[in-house]
Amino acid sequence: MSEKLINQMKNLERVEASQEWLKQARSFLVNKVNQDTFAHKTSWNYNIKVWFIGWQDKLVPSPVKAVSFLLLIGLVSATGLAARAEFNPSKFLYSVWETVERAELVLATSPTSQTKVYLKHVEKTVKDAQKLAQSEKLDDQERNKHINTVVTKLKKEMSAASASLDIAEQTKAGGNITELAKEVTSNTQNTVNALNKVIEESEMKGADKVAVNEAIAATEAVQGEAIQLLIDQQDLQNLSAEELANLVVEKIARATEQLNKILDYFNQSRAITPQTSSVVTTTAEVIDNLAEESAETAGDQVQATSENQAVLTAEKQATLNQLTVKFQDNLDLASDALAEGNLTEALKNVSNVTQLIIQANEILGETLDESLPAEGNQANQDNQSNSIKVEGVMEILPMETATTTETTAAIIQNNQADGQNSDLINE
Amino acid sequence: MKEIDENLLLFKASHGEPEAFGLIFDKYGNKIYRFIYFRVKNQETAEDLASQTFLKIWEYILAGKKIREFQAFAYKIARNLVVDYYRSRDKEELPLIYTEEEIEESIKVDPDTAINREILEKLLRTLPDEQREIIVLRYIEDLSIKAISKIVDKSPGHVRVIIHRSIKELRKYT
Repeated sequence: MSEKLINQMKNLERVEASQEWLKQARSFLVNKVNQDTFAHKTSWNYNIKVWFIGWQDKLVPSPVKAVSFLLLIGLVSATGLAARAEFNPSKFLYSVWETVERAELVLATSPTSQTKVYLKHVEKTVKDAQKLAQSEKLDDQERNKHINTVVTKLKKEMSAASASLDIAEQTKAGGNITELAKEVTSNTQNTVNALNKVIEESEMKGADKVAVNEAIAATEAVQGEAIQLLIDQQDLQNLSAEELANLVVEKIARATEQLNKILDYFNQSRAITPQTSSVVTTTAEVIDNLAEESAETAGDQVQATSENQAVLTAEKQATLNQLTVKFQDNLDLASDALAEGNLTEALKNVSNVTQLIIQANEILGETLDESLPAEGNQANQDNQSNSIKVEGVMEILPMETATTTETTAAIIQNNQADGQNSDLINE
Repeated sequence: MKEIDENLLLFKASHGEPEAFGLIFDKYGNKIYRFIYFRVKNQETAEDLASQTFLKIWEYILAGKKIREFQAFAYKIARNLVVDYYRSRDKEELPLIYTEEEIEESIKVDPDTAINREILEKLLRTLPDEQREIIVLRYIEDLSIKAISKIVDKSPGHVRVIIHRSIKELRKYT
């Protein structure tokens, strides 16, 4: 009832001042303003000010909107920072960070900028892997599982960076392609070093270690492509031949190291027989032994000496044997080409080695997945001395796989002097 | 007319365009008059105080001061002038108004039928000053609670309470 009454109050709007007063008051005020501003001179920027005041409402947001916007920005930034610091892929903030990364990729419109964004993501992912490896809160199994997840992500990012670089080169996209390729080279170098540290720090074994090595090999492949791009651009960009040669030399050295690791796993995962249970002192000898055994054992199922021991089928072993021979051939060819100054050929051969390493890793990964993870890994973890215990048969001493103590450049020089390119791998 | 237009008009007026101030008067002249009229209950006084209000606004602008929200500013000046007016009349005779008792005895309205303007005015005058000015601003001038709270220097919640009390008060006459 009273609402109806109060609504009728609106009728009082008709109460108005007399027209006479309105006219007089208006006239008086206008005259007063005129009188007070009579001497006022219009400044040169008067029209600009008028325009600005007219647009002020549209240009300047209200305080509430501005504060809300700032709060939103602050909230997003804080979440972004917290998410950036998160390294455990099982945590919610990690998925938030992945969303941020996806957004960054959407914002990167050119292939050049996309490559840079992917490289940035690779850096973060590698750091995550390192933090996981150093993390004391996680148990071994959990840690390795998360490292595997992160490393898989890294492989994808690395592959995407390579594809973007390729597109940037083909489409002659904006930005300096040479600088970008150098950036990729440097980034991949750091990634490889970091992943090697991850393996060391997490004391990975078995399939997990193979997974990280696969990532290393994939990264090496990307670096190979970047270096090839630099070689292609050498004449155009006046790149130093020595600098490029050093990059190839470093790659050969790392390929050699990778080869040693493969052989190390090979020895761990293949069936132990009296012929191969002797202590192998150099990688070269390992290769020789493998080549010999390849012919002898091909087609036969290798007998497992223990149920806990990883077993390679004869087929896989034969494949690996063939791969190891190819490793050596390609490394020889790479050093030959390098000695002749044919960087492209040298790089091609090193890239072949990288591809072979990926293949070998796949074979070893399958085998270790089948045999090692559940019990085999445990057996390895129990064995602090890195030796392989084989129930009821014997114990193999830690294998002294060859390490390149000399620099590759020195090795190449020696090779040139001796005319022996096959002795790349020294004790 | 938006707030920004008023700022523009004030700027133009202060830069030698008197007609701009005339436009502001066209928009607010009657509103300010009404607001004062329902407080002082006298047409001549209301017109006088309304004129003074616009003069004060102009002096304020002339002094180079900036007005952020013109509407609230104008009503506030009018409100202060009314207060000053009553202070100056404290020692003089009281204004001739209807007393609450007289109205209570004589007025009974049916809200479902259209109520005469004079009756509405009488009803409005039965409310205390504070309630009346808020009812005028809310239901006659159609201002938002937020805008009213700025004019009367009270929180929006307090303004709502006053409106509620006013409505309750008016219920007596139905």
